[in-house]
Amino acid sequence: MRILFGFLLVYQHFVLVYFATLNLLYALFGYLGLRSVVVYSREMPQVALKDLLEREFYKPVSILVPAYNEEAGIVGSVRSLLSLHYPEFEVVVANDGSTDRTIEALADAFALVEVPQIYRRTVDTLPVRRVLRSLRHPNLTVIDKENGGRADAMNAAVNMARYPLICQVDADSLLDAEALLRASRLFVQDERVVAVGGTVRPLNGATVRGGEVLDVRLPKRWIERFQVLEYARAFFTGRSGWSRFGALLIISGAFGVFRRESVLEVGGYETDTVTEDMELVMRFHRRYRGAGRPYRIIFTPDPICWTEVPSDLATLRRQRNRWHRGLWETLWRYRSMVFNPRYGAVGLLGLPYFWLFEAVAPVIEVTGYVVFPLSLLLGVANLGFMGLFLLLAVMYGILLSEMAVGIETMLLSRYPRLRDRLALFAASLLEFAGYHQILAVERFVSMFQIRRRRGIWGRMHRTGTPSAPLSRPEPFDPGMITRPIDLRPHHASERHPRGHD
Amino acid sequence: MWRKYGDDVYASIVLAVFSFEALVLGVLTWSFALRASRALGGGNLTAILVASIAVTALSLVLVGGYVLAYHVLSNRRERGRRERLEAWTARWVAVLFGNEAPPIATLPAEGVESLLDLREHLVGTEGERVESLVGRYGIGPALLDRTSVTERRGLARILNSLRHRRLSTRLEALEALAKARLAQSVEPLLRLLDDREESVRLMALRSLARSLARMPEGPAYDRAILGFAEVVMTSDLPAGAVEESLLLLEDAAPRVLSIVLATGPGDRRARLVARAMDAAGRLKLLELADDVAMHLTDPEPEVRAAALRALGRVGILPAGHESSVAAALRDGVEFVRVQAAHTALLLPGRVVEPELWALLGDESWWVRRAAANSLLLLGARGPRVLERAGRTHPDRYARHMAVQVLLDAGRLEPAQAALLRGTA
Repeated sequence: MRILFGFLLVYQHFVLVYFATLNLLYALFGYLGLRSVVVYSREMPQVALKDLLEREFYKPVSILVPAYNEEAGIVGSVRSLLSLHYPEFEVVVANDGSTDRTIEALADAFALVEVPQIYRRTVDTLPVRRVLRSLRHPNLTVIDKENGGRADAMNAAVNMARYPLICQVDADSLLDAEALLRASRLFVQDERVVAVGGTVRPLNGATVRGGEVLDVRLPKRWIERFQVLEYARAFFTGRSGWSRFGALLIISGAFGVFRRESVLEVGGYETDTVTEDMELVMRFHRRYRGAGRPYRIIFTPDPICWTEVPSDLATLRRQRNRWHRGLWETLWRYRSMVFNPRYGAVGLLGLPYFWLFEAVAPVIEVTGYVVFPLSLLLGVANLGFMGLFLLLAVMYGILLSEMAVGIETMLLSRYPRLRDRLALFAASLLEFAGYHQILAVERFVSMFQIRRRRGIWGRMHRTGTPSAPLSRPEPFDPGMITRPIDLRPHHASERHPRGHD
Repeated sequence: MWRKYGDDVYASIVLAVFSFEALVLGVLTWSFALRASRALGGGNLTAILVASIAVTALSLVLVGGYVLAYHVLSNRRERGRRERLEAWTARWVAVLFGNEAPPIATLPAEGVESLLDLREHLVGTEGERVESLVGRYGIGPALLDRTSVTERRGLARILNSLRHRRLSTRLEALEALAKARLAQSVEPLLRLLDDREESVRLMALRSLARSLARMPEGPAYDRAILGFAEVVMTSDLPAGAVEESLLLLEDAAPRVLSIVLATGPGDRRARLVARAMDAAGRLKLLELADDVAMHLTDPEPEVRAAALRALGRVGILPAGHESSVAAALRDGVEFVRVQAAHTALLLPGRVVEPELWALLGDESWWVRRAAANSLLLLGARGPRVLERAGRTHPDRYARHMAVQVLLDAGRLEPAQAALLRGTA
């Protein structure tokens, strides 16, 4: 019994130190993120973008869109990408053996014809069945290939890409009109830059027309609002902070721009992981730092990508399960870099942080749900003290969310209504009433599935709302939709042999 | 796109919150350890915890209050600002085109901003009138003052640095100077290229290049040209930023570029010379074709490739350098051969076709592609040569590439291409 008492006491102290360190790191990242916004918003003025265009000093970009069973939204997404404000770019859609009418929808909308295409197959992929070109848009290519998963589709698209920069975009995402210009400018300015990540924001609730986000509104469902907070914390504070340290480990798969040559140099996307985006960035770090070559992987707060976030708990849990398994897979694969001074800030700061405060966090949290009641039961802890500590923890959580929401307020395309902002305040409190705990348990459970479910993505539901109405042929259709438009229960989609999210 | 006000204050609030929380959490953790070793009473620990909650509640009120206030006030402020900007623009247009008298009073921020926007958009006589208005209101010195480079001594210098040390203020002033394009800002901006902040150095470089482009000729201009060239050659600014600044120089570019291209060997030489040649090519500076061609035989492949690329863009191959381009077609480095394939179009007609035909069978995919693209551009006979290559070239990959380029250029239908490849 004395051993149990001792353990409970040590555990309580450990949790307190863990809690204090984690929250202070979050607050520090909040400050660093804000500083980067202060500088970034001024060092990338409109006049710089104007110069870039007028002097034709930009790098052409290949936008790569992997698509699996995206019939509902692919036409609108591609249409939105084709209307981007950028002087020279191509869109390469890789249809990864979809079992729905994705390819037919594209063929109908863009007048695709099969062309005998030769290209340099630098990265191995599953067979490409055919290559199609649009008769209406000379800069649109569609690859129809066998199902091999998102990473394999990306590799096929990388092989086909003609331009020095590649931009990965999810089939259900929309880019801000100037997103490419702002991201690619960083490559032009500094040749050490190999990858640039931008901010991803939830599209749910927004008004979209012609592939452009016209009006930002907070989604109606609380589950979506909680994700608005999560994305704000992750992008406006976390990634900005790590980017400042030169230890950014993740560039979101929803939107990232890479130097094509660098992607090919490290062998393209890894196909046997469910988080190929993080894996690719880690491979960059290992290759460049290992060889002592100068490089930069940057997060900038401005190039903004809008993406649909899960609107039901089942899909969200599957997504978080996959993310957490992927995190473990990648961290385990690069475990030799941890505390290795050869890898600088990545090895000494980034990876240890991700191990301790991301990978292991659900263990600490879920164990806490067992240990603290047990401590109370055994009289090792005081109920009043415990209650106050819980209050402190919740208040810290709200404070960190508010810091991130505060950064969002500085955006020109922020949530404009005051009641949206008040709702976000409420959401930062309510997320502790079950939402946070459910996801913590899901992440905890996912750790026991890492080996069994290696490479398995899990089924994802798509409403496909930004694009479906836009693909209608009526000339006077305003094409205006407000998300979420389709609140009906979704039918289970087909089994995903290799997944996409 | 971000709002450019109130963020500094918010950053200060967040920093203060972070500092207080670090202190409070540190004390709480330490106290908990003392309590565990029974060096501290339970009541004391609870009091510290309550204090922590109070500090966090205060932080929450501070941050939440600021965010809400910012939201409300920024909406109002932006509405008013838009209206004032429109009014000021209309007023300046009336001054410039309607012979209305310019305002006598000191200009508000919107007045300055709208005037600088007009400076950015108007050229010629109107542009000069806007410049004189910018001078009349002392906008240049005020902006330079905000960049903290104005020469001051003693207490004035300390006060100035305290007032304007904020990075955001300096960057905003540099952006405005980039729009103002004032000759008087050239020398102070040159000094800013040594600033310890990289973002300041980069913004100063842009403002400097844009200002130099509009500077009138004279001894000051000559000094500025030399100063700019020296900075470009000696600073550690990113190569891409340097090239962009060279492109922004407009009429001043040839003089700066000829100095850079004549520079002696050094660690940075290859990259810098390559960038300078790229700039010469993009600006299509015919007068620098000889300076560029001198580098066709440079030992560095990056420089050889840049020289070929620049000549291709300029569209001139100075006499006596044909053999260098022909030799580059057989260069051992792939990317040099790619550039040579593009530039080969500048070779005499009798030479170019057989050279490109041979290059179509190169081991590199990219060289074959470049050779096929160049063959396509050989006037009316280009597509015919490619079609013949698609049928009869001894190299299978050359045949495929020829067909592919014809297909991409819309010179072949997919069915014809399939037939030509023998796959139908």
